[in-house]
Amino acid sequence: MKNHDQELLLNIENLHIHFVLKKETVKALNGVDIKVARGKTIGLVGETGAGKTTTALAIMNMIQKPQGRIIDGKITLDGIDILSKNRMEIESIRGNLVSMIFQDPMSSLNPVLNVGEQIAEGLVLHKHMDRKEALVEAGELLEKIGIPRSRACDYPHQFSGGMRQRVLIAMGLACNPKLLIADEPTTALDVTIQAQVLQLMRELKANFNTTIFMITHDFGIVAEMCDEVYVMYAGTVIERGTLTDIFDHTRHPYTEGLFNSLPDIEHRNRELIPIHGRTVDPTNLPAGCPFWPRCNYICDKCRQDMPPEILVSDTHGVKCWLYENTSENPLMRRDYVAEENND
Amino acid sequence: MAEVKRVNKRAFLREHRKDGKALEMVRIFSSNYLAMIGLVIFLIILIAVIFANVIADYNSIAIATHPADRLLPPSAEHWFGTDDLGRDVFARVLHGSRISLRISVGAGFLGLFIAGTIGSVAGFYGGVVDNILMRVIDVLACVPCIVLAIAMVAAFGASEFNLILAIAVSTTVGLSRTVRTAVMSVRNMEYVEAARAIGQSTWKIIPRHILINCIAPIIVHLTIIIACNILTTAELSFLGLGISAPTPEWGCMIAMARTNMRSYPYLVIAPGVAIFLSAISFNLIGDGLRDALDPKLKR
Repeated sequence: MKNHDQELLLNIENLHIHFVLKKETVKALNGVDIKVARGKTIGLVGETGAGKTTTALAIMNMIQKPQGRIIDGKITLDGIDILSKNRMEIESIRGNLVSMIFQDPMSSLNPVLNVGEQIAEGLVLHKHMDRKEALVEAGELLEKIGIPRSRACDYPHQFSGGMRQRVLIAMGLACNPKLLIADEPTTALDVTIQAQVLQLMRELKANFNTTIFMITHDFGIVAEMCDEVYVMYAGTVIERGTLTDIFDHTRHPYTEGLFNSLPDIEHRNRELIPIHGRTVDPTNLPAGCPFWPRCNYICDKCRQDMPPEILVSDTHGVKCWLYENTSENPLMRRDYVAEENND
Repeated sequence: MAEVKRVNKRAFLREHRKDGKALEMVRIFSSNYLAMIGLVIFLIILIAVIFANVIADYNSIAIATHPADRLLPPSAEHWFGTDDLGRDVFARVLHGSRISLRISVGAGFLGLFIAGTIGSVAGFYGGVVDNILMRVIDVLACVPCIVLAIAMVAAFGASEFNLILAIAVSTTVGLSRTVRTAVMSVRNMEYVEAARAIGQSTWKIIPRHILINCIAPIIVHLTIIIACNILTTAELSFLGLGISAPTPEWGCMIAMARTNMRSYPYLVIAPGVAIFLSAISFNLIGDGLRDALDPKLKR
């Protein structure tokens, strides 16, 4: 058991975060459990407002106070209880043990500092280098991500979007963190640049042995990069498992809906089936399972109680009453259906 | 992955210093002829400030009285004539620039420091902190700037330092609002969050990532504040507060010459024009800087 604990880099247990506003309370996270083993890449998938970014910010202890309140839960990163640390302690963890790549490379770099300075900032803070050493080191980091050293003195507006994203990755990796959180790192980029950035992240992962926590809503990226997948809906992880568990043995109706709404290159004439309705309002969550108003497999129990996590295999957990008494898979994923019809 | 070569540290740092944006600003600024006029006037004043003692010695010319040479009209020897105590008005105006600039620029920067702290804390933290600080500023704003300065000088006594302090406090009102608004417009930028994410502390984020990004409106406001301070300094000494008699201060000189104004107008005109020129030079520079630093206002 102890061995198992040491393999875990990040352990989020039963995390509840609410944002208390004047008129309403936004229940952003309602019991999130995520375990990340060292050296793995895990993907966090879900639609906008599912709580993906909130989870990431909680890992960095960057939830905006006083509105954001951590109601319950525990985050352990490399044996450190993140949420109990004071400001000074958490500042020495951020950027050092865990760092984050933000979504929009266009606005995540300071426009009046050149990129060398910005990469050097973390080195000065955590590696206690003086400014000159850090600038030289920053130049080397730039070479590693495929940008010539001579461009360290250029300002962010002189770079293209893909290059800026690489600069952000260099900033994130500057202090060789154990965990790198990538918050939709490719959303703002076009497809060819996406491929380059993902390739770069894979190479860096191999070289630095960094654990990557990838937030995305693109299943293509998940399939390409991740070892394990967590699917979030309305502030809870509703299904988790390895890549094969999620992609080939989809269990939760919501995950099924996500796959059904994706086009499939092998069945081009298949109709796309969207999930009907819209995301639940986080200020007014329904009783029971948050997905029941949109679910096609609804039963009475769904309206009353939140299902616990049910393990359908060693690695595959799902929060759905469908699997309470049976391990049969009742879901009819449309691409399976199409395949059967083709046969 | 590319093989990483070691480069000469010094060559790398030299390269690191080049800066294209500053050149662009200089180009825009120099194409604005009004701003250039302001700059030329400012440089002339600066030369006067630096070489005042070389051109006309303070002790032997500017404050030494020569009863024999009372109230002489402008001539080759006394360019602006002499005053009722026989002192050379040109020398006094020259030395007046030192005092005037020292007080107004000093008060400007002291005010910037106070306003920068108040404004950035209020703008960055928002909420209750913002409310408390801004209400204090509101109270200060209720008192007219000059009256506030008079009250402070009257309370603490008329010394040069007190004058600087009084003027600085009265400039804080407008300047801290400028800083606050500018800070609020950048505090939610993603790069601020990114800086927090690499573990930077708030006290370093504010100057390094926030204030530096709102430097343009602050510089512009500061130059205009300095122009204002030149006037306030002159006003206060005209009223007999602040700088006192033998010291050649422009406002003070006008006050003393007032009695003889009908017969000897040049005694008032010389320091008056000096006040006007120095104030307008800062205003013109401020205007030019606004165009150069804020690309949105580019025509």
